[in-house]
Amino acid sequence: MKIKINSETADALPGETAASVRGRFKPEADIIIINGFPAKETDAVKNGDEIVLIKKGETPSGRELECMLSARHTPGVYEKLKKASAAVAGLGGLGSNAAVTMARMGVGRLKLVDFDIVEPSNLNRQYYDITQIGMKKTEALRRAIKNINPAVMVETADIKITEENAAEIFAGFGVILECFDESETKAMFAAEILKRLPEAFLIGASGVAGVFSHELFKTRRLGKNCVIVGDFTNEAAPGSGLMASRAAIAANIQANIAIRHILGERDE
Amino acid sequence: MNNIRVTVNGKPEECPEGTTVAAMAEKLGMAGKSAVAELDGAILSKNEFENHILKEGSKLELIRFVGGG
Repeated sequence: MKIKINSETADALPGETAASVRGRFKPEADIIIINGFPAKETDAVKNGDEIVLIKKGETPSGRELECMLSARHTPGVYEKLKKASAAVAGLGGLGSNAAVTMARMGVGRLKLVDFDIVEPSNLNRQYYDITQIGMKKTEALRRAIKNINPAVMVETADIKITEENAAEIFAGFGVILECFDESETKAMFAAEILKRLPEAFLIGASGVAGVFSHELFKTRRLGKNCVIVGDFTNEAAPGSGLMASRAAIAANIQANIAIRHILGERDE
Repeated sequence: MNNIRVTVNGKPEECPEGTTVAAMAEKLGMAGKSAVAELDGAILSKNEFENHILKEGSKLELIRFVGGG
């Protein structure tokens, strides 16, 4: 009977339980996770089980860390995401949060594109902190992601995206997130990517401002290669700000659509 | 002038022959707004709306982008 212990293949003994596996492989572990779910000590171990043993407070390195980081993932998902890539255009309230979510889930390669630096009014919704004020957003987010999941390969481009350079910057990425702030840039980018990179799947956002109900969010398709998230109405304007809760919901809907696309899950 | 039947954002619409994507966008309250369209499988940026005319049976998707992110 073969099982995996912290990503290494091992033999299980007849009558093996969660507790006996811990005793043989990592007696100091406080947490036993079997196939993505915390196990009881008496749980029986079956052929093919993926078991992660974690000692609280211990920071392992390399492969063991990756294995522990993904211990609560749905089995099989991390391996698929690790081979995948995604690109994020604009690293504000949408892009910084969507990128961090994809990094936590284990998307293997992320390209982060923005021309701006972190400033104080970003901190109400974007994935930055006070120590990063003045830093390029690409660099600040690269560091944040490396501190969450060092296995993710992060590429950055510190550049303003225009009609002329959009297709070139994002060529080769199967999943691209449109996370800009300005409506004109959003529309320009969507049209450029969909025309010039017909193999790419584009996930955009429109209408994420304010503290309106989350139930106003919809997803709309534009052709077969594009989904846009938002309420399509509530824009950032005088009297209607951009708020962490709603921006992060939209960002994580974008990330979830990206993940589902990578995994081959289809909504139709 | 005869009317033609088209589908706009999944719903049946009638409009006069010769209606442009720009005119349909205006009818839907998107005049002067940032938008992208897909007309019968082809992506159109805003500056192309004026040059594309709806035909009988055309399928048009119009998405408005509002600011904020």
